[in-house]
Amino acid sequence: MITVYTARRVHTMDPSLPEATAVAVRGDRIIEVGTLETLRPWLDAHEHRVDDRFADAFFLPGLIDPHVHPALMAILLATEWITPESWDLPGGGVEATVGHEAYRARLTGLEATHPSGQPFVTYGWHQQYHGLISRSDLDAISTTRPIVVWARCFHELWCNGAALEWLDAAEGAAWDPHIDLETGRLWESGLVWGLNTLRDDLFADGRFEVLMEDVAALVHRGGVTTIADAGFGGMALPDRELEVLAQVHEGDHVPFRQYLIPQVAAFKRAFGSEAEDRMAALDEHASERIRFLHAGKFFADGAFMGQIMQLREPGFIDGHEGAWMADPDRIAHHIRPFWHAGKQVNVHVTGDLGVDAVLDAVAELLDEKPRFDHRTVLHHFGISTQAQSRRAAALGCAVQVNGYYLRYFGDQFVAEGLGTERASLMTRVGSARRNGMSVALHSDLPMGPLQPMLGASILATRMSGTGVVLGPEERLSSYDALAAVTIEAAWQLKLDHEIGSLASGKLADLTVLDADPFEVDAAAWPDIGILATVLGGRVYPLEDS
Amino acid sequence: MTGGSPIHGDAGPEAGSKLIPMVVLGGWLGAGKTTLLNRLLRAADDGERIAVVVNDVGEVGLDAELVAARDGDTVELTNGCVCCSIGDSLGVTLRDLVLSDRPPDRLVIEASGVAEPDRVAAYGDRRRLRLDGVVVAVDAVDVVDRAGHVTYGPLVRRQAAAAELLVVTKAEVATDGGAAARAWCADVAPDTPVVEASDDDRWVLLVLGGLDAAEPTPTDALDVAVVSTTWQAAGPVDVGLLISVLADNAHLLLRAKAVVTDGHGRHAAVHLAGGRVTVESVDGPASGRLVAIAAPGTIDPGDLIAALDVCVVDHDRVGSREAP
Repeated sequence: MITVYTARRVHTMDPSLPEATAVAVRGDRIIEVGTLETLRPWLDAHEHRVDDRFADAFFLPGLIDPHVHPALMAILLATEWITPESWDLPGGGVEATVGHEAYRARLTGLEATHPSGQPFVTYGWHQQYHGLISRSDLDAISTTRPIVVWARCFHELWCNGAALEWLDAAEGAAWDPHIDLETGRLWESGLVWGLNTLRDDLFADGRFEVLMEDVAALVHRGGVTTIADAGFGGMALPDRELEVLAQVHEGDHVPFRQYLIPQVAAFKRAFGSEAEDRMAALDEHASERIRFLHAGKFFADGAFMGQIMQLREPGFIDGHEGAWMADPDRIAHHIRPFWHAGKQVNVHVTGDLGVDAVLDAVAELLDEKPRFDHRTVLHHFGISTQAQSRRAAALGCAVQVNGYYLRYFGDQFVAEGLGTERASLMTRVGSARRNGMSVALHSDLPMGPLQPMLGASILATRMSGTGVVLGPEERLSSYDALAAVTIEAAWQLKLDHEIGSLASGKLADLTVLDADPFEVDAAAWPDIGILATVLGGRVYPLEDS
Repeated sequence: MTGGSPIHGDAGPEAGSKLIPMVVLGGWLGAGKTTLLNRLLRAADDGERIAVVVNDVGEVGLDAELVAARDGDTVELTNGCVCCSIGDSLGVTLRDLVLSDRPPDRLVIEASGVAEPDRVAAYGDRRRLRLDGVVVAVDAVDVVDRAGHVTYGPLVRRQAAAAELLVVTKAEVATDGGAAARAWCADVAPDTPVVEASDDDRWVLLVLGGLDAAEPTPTDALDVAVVSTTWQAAGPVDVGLLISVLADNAHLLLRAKAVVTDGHGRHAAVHLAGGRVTVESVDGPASGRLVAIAAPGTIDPGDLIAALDVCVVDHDRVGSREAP
């Protein structure tokens, strides 16, 4: 039985046949894309039905978010969110909170209504938006209930006295210099002391499973039919994550495919010398919805949001130094086994000095073992130079960026971090396209919201939070911006033969929109309603549409 | 002084229990830290249990006959020593080691190649362990190069400056026999003892026996085969010309440094290291002095000084010269 889905317009994202009005599906595959007229040879030969419920709507290929962290999002969903930007969460919308007084008022208000006897954990504090906070502020709210403020960038906790006791921070402070009992701060390595207790509490009583269902709802709401976890095993233990994924993100009711990229360092930590074997054996856990990519995730320099990326001269305005997450001279060493095994390489890299280190490693490995079509992906690619863009292109790399940086940190980075030129040219995607590189977009959930239409809009407009266009020459065309969440994302996952565009033989994954993104201004893309998604020919309507 | 039980048994707050001495081993990537650790573990055969904490135990390349048991990221050695990875957090790893049923007699921590070793040394409960000091490996082949790198150079210098003991590695394969590295050590950390890794494993004894036994190396005992040439500018200097003179001689000089004043009264520090010349503006005062170090016989001090004299803006006045 063939089902034909009709639409006002279908954007296939296949340049050979860019537009259509009907998609014929048999089983989970597309038979043909065209019009009811051009589909005749198939329809005359086979039993079929026309499903015209979307006849007034618009189809894109099912949207893809190639870099998310579901388990990390799940743990954060167990906390109260007070964030500098607004969020659309399964439990309801979160309004933006900006300013010191506003933050304190919100914190005090939420704590007051929090169930008694339970620790109060809030996520989203950001110094630039919310001002300084410390133990004494939190002790003023409660001396008996543990209160933990988890920074928006993840790498920092602020605690009241009761929380320090709860997290056994005094013992931690004896061993780790990154715990300061006086100010109640745990950061960097000090975070580890608090995290296990926090995670056990937040995930207690089967909550991990429930929250992973919430994450699934977010994926669906974003109109996304494929995600990739770019750091699998990094949050909970790999085995525990596998168990929960199989339980919650598998089955016909789940409206998305999920591909897992093991976080190599996390596997080494968990399994030591057996890490390689454990990663190689992951395919045994593959199922209908959950697959493993023959790829590895590596790290170069520090986080963009916290301004600890590694910069070339002239560095940061205030002269502070970035951080390395891996020894820059050892990046090739870490990647080497994957490279020689023909696996794909994904590297987290945020500053231009980090980009140098990664490109040096790729060049070294190419000398050692030339590879065609290796599709090494530079993730985030915050600050880069034109020369690096050309070199990355020449080395066969692709870039995958987070549009969110530009919207929420562009103005701040102009003023307080990098100055106008470099901050305006962050996320240098226009050049990447001109230099012939693949450009894809990710949310890095929970770093940014899982809303590809919002992210694509930011890449097409480069509009900052205050409405300034940052680096207009680096804007993507509407086509390239939408390709970044469809066919280019698929290409970077080495799945472009299956998903990312609509063509005969490919999987029938669609995102159904109530407006045509090629007709409305890119700035208005986030307002386009997502009516449904289709995964492997099966329709998953959005509840509130 | 050899190994054996720790001699620094100062009673801590927990009376009766002795503090476990801890050594941090730092040094740039590839400086030979892993080789040093391997030798250390092999040297510890007289009953002292050393726990060596490294970034990745899989990369230490322990000899198979030395390995008694392997459990994930921890390797037990036949001589009772332990080698384990840092894991999620150095603090947690140290606690687990020290509070285990069989705590080690001594801790040696390998700092990451890009870490500041003194920051690593800040880890650990001082009620239970005592920092013996920081040992930094200095690569005889390329430390001068590394230290001259525009980005990493300052970190390489800070690492050495943080050391209580500097160990020059790979001297046997360096073309100058480690002379440049030793001169570099004397420049960056003048009061810090310097030993060679091949030096009868003197450094092993120091690490196992307590770093405070290491005496500052007297400069005249350095036995460094280098000659230094000092030049005093007799007036303002054409900095561009000075840079080109140093660049022209870069292949002959191990290192040079000058702090000079240019014709506009601006002060600049000019460095030659690793074959590269760098210049930075400084607030002053500028001595107008240049010190250059070279292997014996590679350069004629007279020729160098004559070339430098040309850099003085007012050529009528000629720099005074000193040669050792």
